[in-house]
Amino acid sequence: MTAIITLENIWKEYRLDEEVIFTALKEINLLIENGELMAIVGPSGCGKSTLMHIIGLLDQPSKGNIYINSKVTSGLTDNQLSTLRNEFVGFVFQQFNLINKLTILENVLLPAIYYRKKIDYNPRERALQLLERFGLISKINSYPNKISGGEQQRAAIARALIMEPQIILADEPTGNLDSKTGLEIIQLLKELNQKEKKTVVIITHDTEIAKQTKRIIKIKDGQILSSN
Amino acid sequence: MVYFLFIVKSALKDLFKNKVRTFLTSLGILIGVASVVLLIALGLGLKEYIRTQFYNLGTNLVYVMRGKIFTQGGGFTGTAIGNVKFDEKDYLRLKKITTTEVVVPIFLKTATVQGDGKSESGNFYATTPEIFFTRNLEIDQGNLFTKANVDKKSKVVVLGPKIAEKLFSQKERALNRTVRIESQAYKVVGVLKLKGGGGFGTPDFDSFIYAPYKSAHVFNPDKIFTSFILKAKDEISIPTLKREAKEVMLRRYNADDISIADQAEFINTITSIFTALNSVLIGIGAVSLMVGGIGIMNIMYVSVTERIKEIGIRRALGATRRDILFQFLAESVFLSLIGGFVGLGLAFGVTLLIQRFFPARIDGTSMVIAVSVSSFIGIFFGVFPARKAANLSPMDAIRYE
Repeated sequence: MTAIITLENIWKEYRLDEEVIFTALKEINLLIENGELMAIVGPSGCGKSTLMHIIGLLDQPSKGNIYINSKVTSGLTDNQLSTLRNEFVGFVFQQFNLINKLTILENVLLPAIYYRKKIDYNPRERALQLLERFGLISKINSYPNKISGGEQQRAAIARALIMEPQIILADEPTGNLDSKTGLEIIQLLKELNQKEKKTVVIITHDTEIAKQTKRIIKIKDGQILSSN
Repeated sequence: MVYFLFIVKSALKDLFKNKVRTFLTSLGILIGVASVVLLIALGLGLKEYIRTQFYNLGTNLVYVMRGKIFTQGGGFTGTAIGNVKFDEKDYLRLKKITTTEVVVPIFLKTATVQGDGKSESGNFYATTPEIFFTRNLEIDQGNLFTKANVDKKSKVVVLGPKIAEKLFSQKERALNRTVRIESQAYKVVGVLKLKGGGGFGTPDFDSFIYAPYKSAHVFNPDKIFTSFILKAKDEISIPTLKREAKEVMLRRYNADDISIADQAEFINTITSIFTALNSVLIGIGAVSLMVGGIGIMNIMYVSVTERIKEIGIRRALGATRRDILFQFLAESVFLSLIGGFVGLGLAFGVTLLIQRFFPARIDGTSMVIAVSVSSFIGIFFGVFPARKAANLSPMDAIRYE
C-alpha cells in the first residue's frame, strides 16, 4: 500500500498570552496508507481533533510537514488548500454539520458547487444514488432539522462522498447518536472502506468503536502513545 | 452558471428566511431610493412643465427688455428694469430688421380692473394685435382688437378667460360690457380661450388684460414701452435676430442697460435654479441612502457572527475565501436591491398620485440610478462584513459554537 498522508514531525502550538504557549501536538509522525481503516483515540483535550484538523487541511501545523500523495502542503495558498479539501477529503462531524437552510439534496451537492473544474459525472445523479443507497431518497427535499440524527449523519456521509475523496475523516461520528444508530454509522464507514477501498480515519474517545478498525493510534497530551 | 445560480438562490433563501429583518434592513434604502427618485421625478416634471409653458407662449421668440435680466452665473438679477425707457423710435427701428416676422411692443403694468361691481388686480398689456399671434392666443368670445383700434386709440380690451370669469361670473357675460381700468372705461370686445398653466412661477396668461397700446397713453404719459417681443422666421434665424436686435438697441443704449434673450435662455435659467434646489433635496435624500447602507452593513456583520459555524462548514467542504465573500456580498446586494426596487415601486405609486396636482415624471434615468445606486450601496457596505466572513480561519469557524 502507498501512503496517502504523511505527517512529519508535526507540532501545533497556541500562544495563550505573551508568555504562555500551549502545545496541542508534539512530534507527531504518522503515515496513513491508502485503503486503511484506522482510529485515532484519546481522552478529551488530548489533541485528536487538532490532529484531525491538520490532516484535513483545516489548520496548519506550527512546525513539521504534511504530505498528501507525497506532495508537501506547506506553502500552498488558501485557494489551493480549499481545492485540496474539496477534492481529497470528505469530512464527517460529530454535530453532523449540515446547513439547516439547505435541503438534504442541496447539502449533499454543496461540495460539487465549490468544485471549479469539470466534473466527469453528473453530481445530482451521484447525490441521488448516494442518498438512495443510504435510505434517504424520500428525504431529499427535507431540511436537516426535520430528520433524525442517524439520517443526518448518513446525509453527512453522502456529502463526504460526493466528490469521491480519497480519505474520509470522521470526527466522533457516533457522538450524538444512540448506540444502535452509532453502530449503523460505523458499519457504513467500514463498508466504505471494505467495498470502495476508501481510506477511513475515525477520531473517537470510544475504545469500542476504535476496536472495530484495523489500526488504532492512541494520543495523550498531544503525543502519539502507541500505534498498532 | 450553476455556481452563480447557487449564490443567488442561497442569498435569496437567507434573506427570505428572516423576512422581517430583511424588510427592516432594506427600509433605509427603500426610503432613500423612493425619495431620491421622487425628487428627480418632481424636478423633471417641473422642468418639462416650465418648458411646455414657455413654448405654449409661442415659438422662436426673442425678448428685448430693460435692464440686466441675467447674472453672469446664470441666474436672474432681480433688479431688471433699470433707468432705460424704450419708445416708438425703438419700435420702428426694430421693425426694420429683416429676420423678424413681427415686433410686438409692450407696455406692461399691474392694474386694478373693476367690472360688474367686482374688482380684480391683473397684468395690463398695452400692445398691438400681433401679441395674439406671437403668443398663440385664440379668441373664444367676440373679437381680438385690431390695428385700427390701436391707431384710433380705441378704449377696448380683450380679457383673459379667468379674469373675465372673476369679474363677470361667466366669461360669456363679459362681452360688450365696460370695465374700468384705474378710472378709465374700456369696452370688452373679446374674451380669449383658456390657455392653462400659470403654476410654479410661470405667468398666468389667462388672467391678463390686453388693450391697444395707444389707448393706454393715459397711464403712460411718456409713451414708453417696457419690452418688445420679436418673432424670428424660424429657429435657425434666432441668433441672427438677436444679434441684429442688439445692434439696433446698442445704438441708443448701453449693453448693461438692456437684455436681449430668447426663450431657451429663460428656460435654462429657470430650470437651472430649480435643478440647484432639486439637487439639494436629492442630497438630503441621499443621506437616507447612506443611513440605509450603514444599516445593511450592521445587519451583515450580525449575519456573519450568527453564521460563523456555517462559514466553517462551507470552508471545510472546499469553499474558498472568494466563495464566502461572494456569498455575503450577494446577500447585501440583494438586500439593497430589494429596498431599491420596492422604493422605486413606491416612488412610481406616489408619482401617479401626485401627478393629479403636480407635474412629475419618472424616466429611465431615475430607474437606472435607483438600481445602480442600490447595487453600489450593497457592494460598498457589504464588502466589509463579507471580507470579515471570508477571512475567518476555517478551523476557528468550524469549532465555533
